[in-house]
Amino acid sequence: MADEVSRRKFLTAGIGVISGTIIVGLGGAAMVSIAAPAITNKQQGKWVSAGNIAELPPGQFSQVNLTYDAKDGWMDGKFKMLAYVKVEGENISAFSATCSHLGCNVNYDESTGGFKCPCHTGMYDKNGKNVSGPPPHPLKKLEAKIEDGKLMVNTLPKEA
Amino acid sequence: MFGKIIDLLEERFTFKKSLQEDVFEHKVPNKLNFTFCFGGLTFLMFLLLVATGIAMLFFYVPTVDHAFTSVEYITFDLPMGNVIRGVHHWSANGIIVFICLHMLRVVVYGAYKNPREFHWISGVLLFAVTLGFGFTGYLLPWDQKAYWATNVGVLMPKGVPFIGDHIVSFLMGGSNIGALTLSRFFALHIAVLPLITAVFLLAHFLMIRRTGVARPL
Amino acid sequence: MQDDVSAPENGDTEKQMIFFPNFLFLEAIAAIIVFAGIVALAVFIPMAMGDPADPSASAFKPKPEWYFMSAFYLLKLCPSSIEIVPTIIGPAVGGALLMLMPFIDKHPERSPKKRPIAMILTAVITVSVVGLTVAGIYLD
Ligand code: FES
Repeated sequence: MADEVSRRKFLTAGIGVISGTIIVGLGGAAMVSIAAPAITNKQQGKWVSAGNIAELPPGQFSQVNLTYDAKDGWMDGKFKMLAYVKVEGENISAFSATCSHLGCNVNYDESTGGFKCPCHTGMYDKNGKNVSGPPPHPLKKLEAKIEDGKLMVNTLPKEA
Repeated sequence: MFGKIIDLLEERFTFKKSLQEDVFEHKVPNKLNFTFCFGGLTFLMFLLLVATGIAMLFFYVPTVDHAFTSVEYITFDLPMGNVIRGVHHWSANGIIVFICLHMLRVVVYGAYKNPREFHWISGVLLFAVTLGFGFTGYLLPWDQKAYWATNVGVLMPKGVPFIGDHIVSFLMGGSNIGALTLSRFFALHIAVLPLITAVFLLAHFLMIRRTGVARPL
Repeated sequence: MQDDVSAPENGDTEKQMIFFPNFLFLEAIAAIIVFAGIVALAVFIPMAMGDPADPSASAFKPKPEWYFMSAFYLLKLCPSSIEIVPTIIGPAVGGALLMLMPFIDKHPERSPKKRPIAMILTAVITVSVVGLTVAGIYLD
């Protein structure tokens, strides 16, 4: 009688362990592959031309569309982003237009000379600093340099 | 002919009898009014969504460079395509309306109380899954509205302490909304969420069959 | 049998009906009306398409679906310092409370007339969600 009970227990435990192994193994493998792109699929910085220096109005922000090729998961994708650049003699400032709040693209705001987000009316000043509204951080700065009369911008924001 | 086949099957499996006893011939209270239809109407919406969703699955391509064009094809070129997509769209809105009405009815009649607590819980989970359907489905046409609404929505968990950024990149499948975001939203929308729905729906139905509908007051 | 739970509770002579075909017929009528409505909407309001997604578009202001509007508008109303409340804490706590409701409100009384607190709460929540949704759609 006691034998019968322990035998039953053993078999039950065996079934539990075996099916558990299969489920955890399979599920774990699937979860790893599903979660992996969060770490592996990071965008690469590219140097992209934002136009000829001669054509950019000096001392003023211009809105530029940056287009570049990069890998996105399995595909060689075309990426686009919006940026604001300003050349003032030696000084170049370049910002990604992505609002630090929830990622809308900000607009240049004539009246303040800064930037305004259409989504929840976040405001930034001319240095990209968040001055009012929901945005928790400044606009991200982009690396920029002048090469052969062209303004080159790196698409990956500097970690501030 | 069909009758014969059915008789043969019945003789062997007695399925008619069990269907009759278990599905069709149970008793429900006599005084049920139209508010008791909302659950059934929610289910109708679900069936319409499944049917039109499967139809569109024959044409839709979940890639960044073809999603938009394939939806355009469904919408403008495919015979009946606009109606199929329209029914999917309106049922998706309708299902939310009917879920809310169904829930309100259950609350007003106190029908979530003992012994029906778990019907309610499975129902709330189904509602959450339905919102998940809405969120993942919105991205699939890959138009401006889809992209920017998802952009805002997917960044919301950013505020979660410590792991916020990781949740966001997990949802996006990388550091940007792109090819992998679209493909994972697609997988969730057409495989993962429907499966979860099926499981909870079955539980929801089996439980209400066991306890019966709460008698109107 | 199983059906006893929904049978008359105090032995009065309330009648019951059979699910099929009696109740299902009512459902079928409701279903055909709703189905006709959905198809009519689909036929008379043809689906359109916006422009293809463009991450470099300047100033595209997304509008969420109406059923996310109440939460979205609440997010807008809240000062940004407590933004975590409408985006995360609110939905999490709200969802948990909603789910656990049968275990919070355990009193067996079911009649709406004898549950004033529950009914007032339901009305307040319903009205504020509807109000936020409408406000979000028209004021935003
Ligand atoms: S996304 Fe810019 S203020 Fe919210």
